[in-house]
Amino acid sequence: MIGELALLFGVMIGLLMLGLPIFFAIGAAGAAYAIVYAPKVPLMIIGQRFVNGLDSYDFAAIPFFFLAGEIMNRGGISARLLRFARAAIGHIRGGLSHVNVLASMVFAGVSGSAAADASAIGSVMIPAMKREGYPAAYAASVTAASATIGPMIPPSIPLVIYALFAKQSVGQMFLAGVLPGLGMGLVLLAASIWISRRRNYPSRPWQGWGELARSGVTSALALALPVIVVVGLVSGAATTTEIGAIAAAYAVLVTSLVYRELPLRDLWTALCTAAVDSCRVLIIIAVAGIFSYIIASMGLAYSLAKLASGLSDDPAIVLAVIMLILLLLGTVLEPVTLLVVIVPILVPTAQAVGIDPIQLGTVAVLATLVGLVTPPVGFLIYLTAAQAQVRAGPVIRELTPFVLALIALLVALVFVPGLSLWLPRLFFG
Amino acid sequence: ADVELRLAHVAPPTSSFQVAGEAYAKALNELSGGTMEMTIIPGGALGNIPELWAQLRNGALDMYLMDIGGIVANKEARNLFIVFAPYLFKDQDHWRAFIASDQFAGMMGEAETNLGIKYLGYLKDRSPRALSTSKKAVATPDDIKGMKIRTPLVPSITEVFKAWGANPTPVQASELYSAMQSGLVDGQDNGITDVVAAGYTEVQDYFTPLDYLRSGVGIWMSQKAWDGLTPQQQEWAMQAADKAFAEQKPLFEKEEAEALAAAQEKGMEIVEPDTAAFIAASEPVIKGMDGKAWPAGLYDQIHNMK
Amino acid sequence: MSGALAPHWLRTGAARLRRLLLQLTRHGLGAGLAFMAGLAVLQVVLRYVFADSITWVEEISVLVLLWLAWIGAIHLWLDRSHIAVDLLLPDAGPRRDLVASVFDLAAIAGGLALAWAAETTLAAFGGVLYGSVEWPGEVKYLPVLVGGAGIALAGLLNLLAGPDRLEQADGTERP
Ligand code: NA
Ligand code: NA
Repeated sequence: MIGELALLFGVMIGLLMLGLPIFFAIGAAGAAYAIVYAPKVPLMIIGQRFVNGLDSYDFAAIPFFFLAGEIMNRGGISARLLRFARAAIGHIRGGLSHVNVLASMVFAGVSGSAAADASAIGSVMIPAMKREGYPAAYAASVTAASATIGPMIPPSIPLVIYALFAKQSVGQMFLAGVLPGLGMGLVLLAASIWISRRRNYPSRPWQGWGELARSGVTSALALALPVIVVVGLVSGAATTTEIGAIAAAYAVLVTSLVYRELPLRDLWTALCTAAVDSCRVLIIIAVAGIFSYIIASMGLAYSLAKLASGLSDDPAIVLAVIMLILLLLGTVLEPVTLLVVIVPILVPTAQAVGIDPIQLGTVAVLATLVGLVTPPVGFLIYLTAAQAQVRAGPVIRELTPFVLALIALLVALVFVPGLSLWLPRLFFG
Repeated sequence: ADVELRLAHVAPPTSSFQVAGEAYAKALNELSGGTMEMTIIPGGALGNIPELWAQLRNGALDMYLMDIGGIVANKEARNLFIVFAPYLFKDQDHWRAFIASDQFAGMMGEAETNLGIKYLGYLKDRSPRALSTSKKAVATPDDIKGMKIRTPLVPSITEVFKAWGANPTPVQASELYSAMQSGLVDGQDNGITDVVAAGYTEVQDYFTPLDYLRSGVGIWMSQKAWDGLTPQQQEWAMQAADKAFAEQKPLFEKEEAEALAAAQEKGMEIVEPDTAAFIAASEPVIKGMDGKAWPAGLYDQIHNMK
Repeated sequence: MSGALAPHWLRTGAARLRRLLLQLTRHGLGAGLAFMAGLAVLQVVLRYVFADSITWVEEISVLVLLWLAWIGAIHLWLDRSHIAVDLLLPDAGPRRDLVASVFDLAAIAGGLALAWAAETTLAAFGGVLYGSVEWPGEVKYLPVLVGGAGIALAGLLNLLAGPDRLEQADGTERP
């Protein structure tokens, strides 16, 4: 079994490091396994498995939430959310830094991916922060760190992927993400406040309750979206997938009829862009089916479960080990790959020692999200560094306190199951 | 072991499918004096229902364990669609008699030849398909009017629920629990053991044993795997199914009763249905499908078999 | 290795076809997403307002989703914008172009192999029906065959058109 695993993951990681697209590396590793260990994976299976991973209507939620986020972004919603965040906390020392975090939290309620979050907030906030005298690398780091909140507060693409690969309810996973998502905002705000005090970062004048109220009113329609998501789920109006489509339809209504900032032509552009963006994720999910077939044929998940329950029967310890593994792998692998290739292997292990799969979900998703801001491979580091026009090195240094804050929260999620489970239990028994 | 076979099914590792598969594996191992061994891969890990059929037909999979009616996913086995006809069977013994009959053997034999697979036998009864609801108790077709009920997308099933006045509503299995909790649907039609095993007892208040469909678990082998066995091993493979069923058969009533008791303990109320009224309301659907979904007259023939 | 060796007419022809395919696939993907989202909204309205539902919405949507993924894979290959770990890749320049050409060769080989494998899958599905719509089971695996062939074509076009001809889907030159 060790030899088989070494081949499978060796080829995948090798091709990834060479720079081949992730979907290609996963598919080629599966094919290499099929050739070396013939006839374990017959030829006709390969075509099947490149469909099987994506073979569920629930995954349609992914393009739907991409679409909702894209429309909101183009239709002037992010600008309104920023104005609101600025009116609320822009006057505190290091105001724009905190605004960056708060805006990400609010934006998290409308977007499902960290990339969307970072692009939307970063394009406005990083230049603004630089103008007010914040170091460019710091502006990039606070943007990158807070963009990880996006996929934890529902709607969330990683939570959808986890739920489906771990055979959990997407609706329950969404509810489970709410408190950890808010927690991420709080620990990042705390880090932002601490740094701002130490470095004596600037503040803006208080713009008054009037501006706060006005910006709150213009943002209200956008702020209603996360509420619609949760209420829609809990009230039984629609399934999670359908809520994705409803959210997109709602975004169209708000931006084209109320804000009048989304002409028909832009709507079509948004549709095409969202479709293309979601394909980057969908194709990885599709080909990952080959890995789950091979792993299942090996019986790896069950051997691992047996092994783990022999080592320790303390759920918190096992979960902490899983967290460390994911943090470590997250330094080089991005969240979708981890969630479709590695995490499904760990689910039976976790269940065997009595870890709730919903709690495992929030821990796994947060751990993989931290990977977005840890070197050497951290997509958000390079994205925000490019936005701020600085090299990655200083951004990585500035990220340290934020990463530590996120890891502290992660440890809390491991040892306090209620943080993840309280809300889904409240609504779904 | 001389022979190692791989068996796949789509149900969870804690399901009755797994129990049936393990009973078969144990029987085969005993009959063969430990020379024939099996690995069971549950949970659809090797593929979903149609994919596993394709793998079995192609020889990529050795053995497939599935609901008898599941074979109609193959075009060439459509003659067996009749098992989805509502109220075809009067009780569980009637269903078992059909499975053991020459008529069934003839129909399955035709499917085997067309598909190039081998039917090894019948392993275990399943809970008859029934009804659980959340808001109100259903005793008559009038009670179910306007309710959104999650059902499989099998034409005879959706049609019969419509005939009763319900709205059959598609929901993914993974979302069914939440959909019932939130009120997206008012009920579902799995049998009592599945209701208890999946924890639907927590989100459903009433259970009505409509028992409008009966079924059980069968086991098939690929032609390739079958041809690779000696005549003696082939005989063991067939006998193992009978041996497993003989062991599982007496458990049916016990498991049904235990599941009903467990459901009541969880606060579910068991509602006595007006079966005659449901049957009467199903008649137009059965008449409409006779001669279309199955050969004309076949329903009556099986329904009235001795 | 790359476009530099191809005759001029072939280079420009490949570049033109590449641009056309990028546009076609982009708008096709947008249309597919619009169709899926429209169906989902319709389903909610039907169920919530009229207590009715269309049974085939999920099955058809899954098919669209599979086409999205594989047509998207072709589009993203043409556009060279699949998610990848480009940490060790050389920066823009001749060495980067050389690596890109090697990847395109890999796409041609891998894409053709995939199309061949998918063909076997399609053959194995003769007779298996797809869900309640009862379409031939092959419909689900056709996207993989088309995707494999399309990725091979994308690799070839990128190779022929040459890296200097790479433009983004919206028609602007890549920076
Ligand atoms: Na979000
Ligand atoms: Na990383």
